[in-house]
Amino acid sequence: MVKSNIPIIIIFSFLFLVAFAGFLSKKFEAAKIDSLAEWSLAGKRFGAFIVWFLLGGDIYTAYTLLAVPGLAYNSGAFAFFAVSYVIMEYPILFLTIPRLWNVSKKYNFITAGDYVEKVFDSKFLGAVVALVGIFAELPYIGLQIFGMRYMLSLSGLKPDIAIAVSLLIVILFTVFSGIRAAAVTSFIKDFFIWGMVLFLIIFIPIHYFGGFGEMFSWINKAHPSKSLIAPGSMITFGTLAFGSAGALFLYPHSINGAYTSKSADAIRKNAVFMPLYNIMLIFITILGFAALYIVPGIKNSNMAVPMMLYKTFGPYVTAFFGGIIILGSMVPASIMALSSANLFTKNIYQNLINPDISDRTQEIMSKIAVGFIIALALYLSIIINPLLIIKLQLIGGMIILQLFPLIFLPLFTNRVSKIPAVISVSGGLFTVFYLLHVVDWNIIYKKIYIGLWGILAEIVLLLIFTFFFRPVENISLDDYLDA
Amino acid sequence: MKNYKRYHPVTWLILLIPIAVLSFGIKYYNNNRLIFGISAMVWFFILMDIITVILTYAAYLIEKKNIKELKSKHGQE
Repeated sequence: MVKSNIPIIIIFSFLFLVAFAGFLSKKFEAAKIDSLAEWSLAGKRFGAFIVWFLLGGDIYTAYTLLAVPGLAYNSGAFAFFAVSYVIMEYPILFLTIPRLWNVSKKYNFITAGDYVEKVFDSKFLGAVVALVGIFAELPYIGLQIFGMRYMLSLSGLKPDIAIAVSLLIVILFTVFSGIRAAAVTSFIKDFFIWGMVLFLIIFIPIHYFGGFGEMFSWINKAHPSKSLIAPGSMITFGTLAFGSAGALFLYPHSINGAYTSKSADAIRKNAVFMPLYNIMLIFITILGFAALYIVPGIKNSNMAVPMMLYKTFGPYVTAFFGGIIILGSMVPASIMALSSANLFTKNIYQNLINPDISDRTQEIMSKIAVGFIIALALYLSIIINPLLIIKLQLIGGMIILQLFPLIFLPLFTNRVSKIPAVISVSGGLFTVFYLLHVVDWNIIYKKIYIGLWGILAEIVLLLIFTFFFRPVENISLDDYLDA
Repeated sequence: MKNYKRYHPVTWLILLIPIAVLSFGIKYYNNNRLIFGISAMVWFFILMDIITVILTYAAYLIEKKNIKELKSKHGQE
């Protein structure tokens, strides 16, 4: 769109800032030993403050910055389901992840698959968790790449070159510094993203409408149907929000982020204060409504914010914001790749192929897997069109939710044993795929989020089968409590 | 021994409040009326964010005490 080199220089300045911080981060909270736990979990030594940024980097991705306002642009108030589900997710975080952390600390678990393997004494179930996790993460990383592509399409730079450079930096700093790279770069990401969003939420309404009141009045008058959730969509809104909230902390990257914490208490503190981060998501959603006025008639709604920035500020400032959004995609891509790599190494390779693998080899294996996973996500984002990858990500959310009886339920009861768990998860996954097939790969069946139909099937199956089997006793109930 | 693993009932109750309100209260907060120039729904979500912080903090304090009590009870067993 622009011929000048300045936007390119701006974007590459961001990339090199991130690369510099990422490589330097190896020294951050560093230990003298090299191991998978040190590389991928920083030895579980991060305090509540660092974990807040790391989880923020995990949850509020670049794609969120584009897709949520894009949804507001396209579907109006329905986009607030994203705000709703992220609020709901923090009480779920409070109730579940500190227990998982306690038991993981006690037994030196690196992944959720390790936990499931121990609880049910089943390498197979550990591998199922790994496969589902990797399948769910790949399109998620793919979406981060689309986020980069959307922003770069306005910079005048060939997106493929910049994306390849960005991902190469992600691979290198992740391999070199592990989770510390994501932690340090998430500080930079948050500084810029918060600055950008606060600036835009003040500037855009005043500049175009004269104030917030005028902006919301215009939305109500010009797009009355978009200013409210359609009465027929309320059940969908509620179930989609609830199901998505249940799924978020079953994703490997979320669990990996929380595992870096130095105590269960630090995770609880994060569950308390993370909702404050969510106010930014409300602002971002509002920007989608503003874009309806500023850049009407855009076919690809994910481009609403980039186009609004371009129209308002021109190419140079857009490149600056683009750099921030690209930065916002590099941090989650790093954590997602790292957590998927750990699942592969620990729960697929070590469990099923080579049980005698040394700790050092595990680390090397995971580092190789990081490169492979990011390259695979890049390849998928090239050969698959954006709509399909969005659909795959939504399906990923539904199937990861089906891991609930394997990961979350045993945190509260020892009644769920291996065979009922296998039957239940199989039933849940079957229900999800069957209903997806029935509704032609839509995510809603009879107005209810399909992931929740799967959970319903799982609960019914558990109630039928659980009491025929003895409770599991592989992990002591005391291990779930703070040391 | 089983109680050793449990959260305090009040913890469950107050943490389920935001989930229940957000999931089942949609028809009450689906409102585009302007309050101080901002849509009622936007105010609602900002308020829910703050209420969730307060409720989760209350749960945090309850659990801190609960864990201590359960531990000492467990120590006596």
